[in-house]
Formats: sequence, structure tokens, C-alpha cells
Amino acid sequence: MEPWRYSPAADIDSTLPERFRSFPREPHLWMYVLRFVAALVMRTWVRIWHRLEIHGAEHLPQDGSFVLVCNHQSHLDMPCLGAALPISWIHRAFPAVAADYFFNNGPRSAFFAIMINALPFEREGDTDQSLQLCRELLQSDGNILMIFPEGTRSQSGSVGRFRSGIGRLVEGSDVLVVPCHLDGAHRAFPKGAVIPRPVKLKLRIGEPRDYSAHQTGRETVAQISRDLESAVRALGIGAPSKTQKYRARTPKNARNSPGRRLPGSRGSRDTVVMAPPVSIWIAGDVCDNPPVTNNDTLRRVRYAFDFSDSKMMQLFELGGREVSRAELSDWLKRDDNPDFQPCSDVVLATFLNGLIVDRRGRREGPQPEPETRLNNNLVLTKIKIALSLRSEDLVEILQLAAYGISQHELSAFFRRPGHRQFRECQDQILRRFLQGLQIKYRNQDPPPPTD
Amino acid sequence: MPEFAISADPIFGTYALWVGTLLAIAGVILFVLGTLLKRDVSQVWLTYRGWLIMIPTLFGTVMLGRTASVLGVAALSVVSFKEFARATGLYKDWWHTCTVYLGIAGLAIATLLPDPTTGANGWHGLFRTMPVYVIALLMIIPVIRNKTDGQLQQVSLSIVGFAYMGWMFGHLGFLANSPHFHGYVAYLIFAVEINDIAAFTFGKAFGKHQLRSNVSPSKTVEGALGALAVAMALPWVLHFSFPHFGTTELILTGLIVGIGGQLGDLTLSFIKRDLGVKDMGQSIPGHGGFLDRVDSLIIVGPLFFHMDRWFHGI
Repeated sequence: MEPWRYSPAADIDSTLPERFRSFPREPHLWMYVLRFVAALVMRTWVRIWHRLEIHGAEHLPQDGSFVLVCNHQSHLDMPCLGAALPISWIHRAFPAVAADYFFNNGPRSAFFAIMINALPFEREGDTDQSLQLCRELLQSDGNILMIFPEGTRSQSGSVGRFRSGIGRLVEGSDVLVVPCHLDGAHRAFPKGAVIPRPVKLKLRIGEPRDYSAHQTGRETVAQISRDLESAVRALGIGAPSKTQKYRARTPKNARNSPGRRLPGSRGSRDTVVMAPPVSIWIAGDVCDNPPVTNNDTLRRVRYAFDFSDSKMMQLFELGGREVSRAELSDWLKRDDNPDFQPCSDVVLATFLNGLIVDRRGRREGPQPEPETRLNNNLVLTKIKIALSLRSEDLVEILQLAAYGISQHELSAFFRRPGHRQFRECQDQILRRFLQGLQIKYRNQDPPPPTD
Repeated sequence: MPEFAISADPIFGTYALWVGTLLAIAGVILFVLGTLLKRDVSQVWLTYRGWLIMIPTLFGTVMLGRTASVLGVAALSVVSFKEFARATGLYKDWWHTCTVYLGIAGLAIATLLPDPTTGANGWHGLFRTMPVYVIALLMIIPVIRNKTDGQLQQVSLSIVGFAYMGWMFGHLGFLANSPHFHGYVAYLIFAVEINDIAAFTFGKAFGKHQLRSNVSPSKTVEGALGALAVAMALPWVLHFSFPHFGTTELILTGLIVGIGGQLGDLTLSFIKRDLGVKDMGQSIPGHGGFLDRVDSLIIVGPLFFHMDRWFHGI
């Protein structure tokens, strides 16, 4: 008899607050029930108090994943966008919200994870990883991502400049993007107000747009963001959103269905659940994130521990390779120096293996061969072994370099590749880690907080 | 038996005093180690904090009386089953998990209802036959859903979940119908913990032979025998918990806690090993899941209940 195949929840080793903060979240019965009740309350509120009118609901794709893009005026935007979707979709519709604000403590994370099914988006830390999370979400079938690309609430009611994140998200992917415009929300619930005023709200939903034909590149990213911005503007002044440049795909069932019945809800109760300002922020630029080269790693480790050249050579020897002083000095040169030599993976692996032998003693039996292909995860693992760092030490080191990460997230880097929870270690994390090493071991002052 | 307060129950008061003193001493030791001697006690501190929350909750619930105790046990059943479901993958099947929750609620109701024939607290007949109805419900779910894929596995896991974490553990709740409940529950929990500590200590000191090498490599025969010896002595030491017990009952109590407690531990170990998880969850920081905490009681509870019922008719 074949043994059964069990599938434990992916977050089985996480505490409850960590489970709320992690993403994707495991399905949870009580969470779904609460979210359903919250959705009913929010829908009732916007329909009765704000007499929400929805135009163009027939444009919503009936199958497959898509992105909803909307202007951002107030905390009411989220419930209004949600109200445009059938209530049975609430568990697969995810608004991207700022992780540093909406997921910064336990109760808050729980509230927004349960009530609005929010996706924690890192504005400052690892934007790339957050974007990757969004992409994965859209790859699995039938998920809806809600994004407010302005990144902040507009006080005047006009549509602000769209940030580039949305362009980076959808360039070259066949996910449809549906532009929406919500009118009146800045009057209904201006910044600083406590109770929304009963101002009428109008949500217009435009035709889905398809950017799959676009090659990836920085130009495209800007172009897509501008295109969506003008589409949302056009919806705002009541004009049909049509651009010749992009092929607007008609949803499969749209032709036959005479407009889907919108989910209404009965009963009225005062709502306590207010949606947060939803924003997607792309901090910095791709160019601010240069890759960490092997030479960088070599240089920074040497600096952190203040190794002399002869100590470095000794470490290489322990790793199983004789290295001349000239060779070493070329690797350590800046990359704009003409004598600079790139340090290959196998060289760095040899060095790190030497470091492990130096710190931990030689392993019995055959010595490990240095890897010919290294990646950030391996580099991190080797340094971790060499310095006998526990995961809390790693967290602390990263914190020294102003990078917050949980032990749970960190553990994903040390899984086998191909493991369900394996995550690739981004260059940024390795760079911060090396920075943290310098601070910790060389007593260097921490860098000013990046804000 | 009417609900009574702690002042009216010297047995419970004694335990509260002891445990309170133990916790206070442990707290002082941790404080001295951590703050004055600058030792790293963060992990132990986490475990200690877990106890600080669990013990008052436990005492408080039991003090509130029969209804609160029964509901408390039912709540523990629910969270334990939830952990089991999350560890096996059953949690995605809401039909089966909901039915098990329903079954646990049914057990709590049967425990609270009076027996229709005798009028005594607790409808034992219904409690005993509850698995019949729950298993029947669980079995027909695939039929109702018109679904076959992997259903045998889902049904089997649900039945194990209900029988083990719901029904067997539920006997501890049914014990609340006994007039001696306070003494029983305080003794069982205390003895099971002492048993754990004894097994660990004896294992550390004299452990040479593995007890069950595949199930739990850290447990040793020496540890188990040491724990059994302690468990056998404990009923006499703590005889005030059940003054009406004769020698036979005391011996049986010792055997049940000494053997049953360790079996409960090993049972959960084999489940965890098969599932490939370390703990059943992280519900209590420093302790793992609830199930990791109550595993011994799942076997000790029903055995002790039936022993007591045999001799004293509850």
C-alpha cells in the first residue's frame, strides 16, 4: 500500500501573528466567515449611505486573474471597489497595502488580513519580492489584485501621477488590467474626517487592457503606467476609455451577458470597518539595487573581520587552493581599476569553505568540493555556518543594517531549492547582511535610517 | 454537586498554593539568572510566560464550575483538532472539519445534559454513543457531495481526529460531573507534568537504551521506568486529592498516569513523525501547539474516568 500524502499547512511553524503577516495566507474557516460578514457590512454601508452607483460592471473579466486599478481619494475606495465584485469573490480579491503601516503590529495585521484580505506590500524593504508575490498571485487562476497606483490619497479629487510599480507588474504578462474611477470619495471622506458624509459615489469601470504584447523594458514600464493613468482620467470625465495603441480585450462572456447583476445586500448596520488607504509604492529604482558581486562579498567579509592579506591567503589554503598575493589583490580591487579581476564562484566558494574550516575546525572525512556555481542563498548559508550564527543572530545582524525580517521569512533562504517554502535570497538582503556584519564585527556605526 | 468556590475546596486550594509557589520560585530563579547573572534565558522565559498564562486560565476555568470546565475541555478539543487538521492537510476540507466541530459540540452538550433515566449530571449513554452518529455523518459526506477522490483519507483522518482529540479527550470534561472533579483534574494535570519531568530527568541521568528508536529517539527505557516509579508513588503522596480511594484505586491511578501518560506522548510523536512536522503548531509561544501540551491527558483522561466510574460510579 502506498503511504498517504499529507499536505500540512505551509505556515505550520509560524505563530498566529506571523501567520497573519505572511502571504499567501492559508485558508481559514473562521477568517472566511468574519470576512464575509465584514464584506456584507461594507457593501450595505456604501450602497445605502453613499448611494454607490456602479457603471461598467460588465467589463469585469469573468474568468482568469486580473488587476483592478483605481484612483485613490479616501478610505472608502476599498469598500467601493469591493462592492463592484460579486460577494463570492471576496476571498480571492486582494488589495495591495503598505506592509510597514497596515501590518506593523499583530492586531492590525489580523484585522486587515481578515477584514479586507489585504496583501502586505513592502514599500521600502524588498519591493522586488513584493512585486514577485503579486505576480505569483496573478499567475494562479482567478485572483484579483486591487492596486491604487498613485500611492497616496489625492486631496483634491483629481487623479495624480501613477507610480511605475503597476507597469513593472503587468509588462509582458497576459493578465488583464481593468481601470476604474471612483468619483466623490474625497468629498465623502476627506483626510482627517471621522465619519463619512453621505455624499453620492460613482464608480466607473473601464474596458480591460492587455499588455502582453509589450516587451519588457524601462520605457514600457513608464508607458504602461501613463496609459493606465490616462485611462482612469478618461473614465473620470465620463469619456469612454479608448486608446488606439492598446488592444482592449473583450471579456469572454461580456457579449452575451446583459450586464451582470450587481451584488446587493440587505439590512443596515452601522459600520465600524473602514478600509485603509491602499497604496503601492515603488521606492527607489531598479538601478539603486546593483547586484552584489563575488568581489563585493570577498571585500566586505575581509573588511568586516579586518583580515590581513596573509590571513586571506591562509583562508584560501584552508579551502584547498593556493592563491598568490597578486591574484588576491586583483580580486580586491575596485571594479573600475584596470587590474580588477572578477572573482569566480568557485574562488568565493573556496574562500568561504576556508573560513568555515578556520572558524569551526576541519570536518572529518573527505573535504567538500567548492561549488562551481554559487548563489546568494549559498553565500549566506556558508557565512552562517562559519560564524555559527543562529537565526536570531541573523535577524539581529540584518536589523543592524536597518533591515527588518522575521526568523520565519529568513528560514526560507536555507531550505532546499525546490522546497515549497524555499525563497531566493535577493541581492539587497545579502548586501544588508554584509553591511550588518561590518557593523557587528568591526563596530562600525550603523548607516542612517533609510526613509 | 453545586458549583463551589476555591475557599470551599481545600484540595484545590492546596494545589493552587503549591503551583503558585512553584511558579513564584521559578520566576525568581529566572530573574536572578537573567537580570543579575546576565545568562541567556529567553527561551526558558518564553516557556515560563506560557505557564504564567496557562495555569491561571486553567485554575480559573475549573473554579468557575462544571459548565465552564466542560466548555473549556471542548474548546481545547476544538483547537487541538484544528492543529491536527492543519498538520495533515484536512483543514482544507471544510465539510469534514465542520462535522467534527459539530461532533465536539455534541459531546459537550451530552456532558452537560442530565441523564434522562437517573437524572444525574451528564448523559453518559449519549456521550458514549456519540461516535456512532459522528462517524455515520462523516462517512456519508462523500455521498452527499458526490465525490470520491481522496475521500477515504479525509474521512479516516476526520474519524481519528474526532475519536482522539474530541471523544477521548472529552472524557476529561465528563469527569467534571464527578463530585471529586477538582481533586481529580488537579491531580491528573499535576501528575502528568511530573511524569514528563521525571521521564526527562531519569532519561538524562541514566538513559542508555532507546525506548522506541523510530518514534521518539530521545526517550529511553530508563527514563520511562523512572517516570513509572515516580507515578506509582505519587498517588500516596497526594492522597488528599482523592481521600475516598482505596489501595486498588491508588495503584491503578499510578499505572494509568505512569504508562498512559507516556503512551499519549509517544502516540503524538508517531503522528508528528509520519506527518513530518516538529510541533503541531505554534499556538503557545515556547510550548508548541495545544496538542503538544495535552497529548498525555488524551490517554490518561478516559482511562482514569473509567477506573473511577467502575469503583465509584461517578
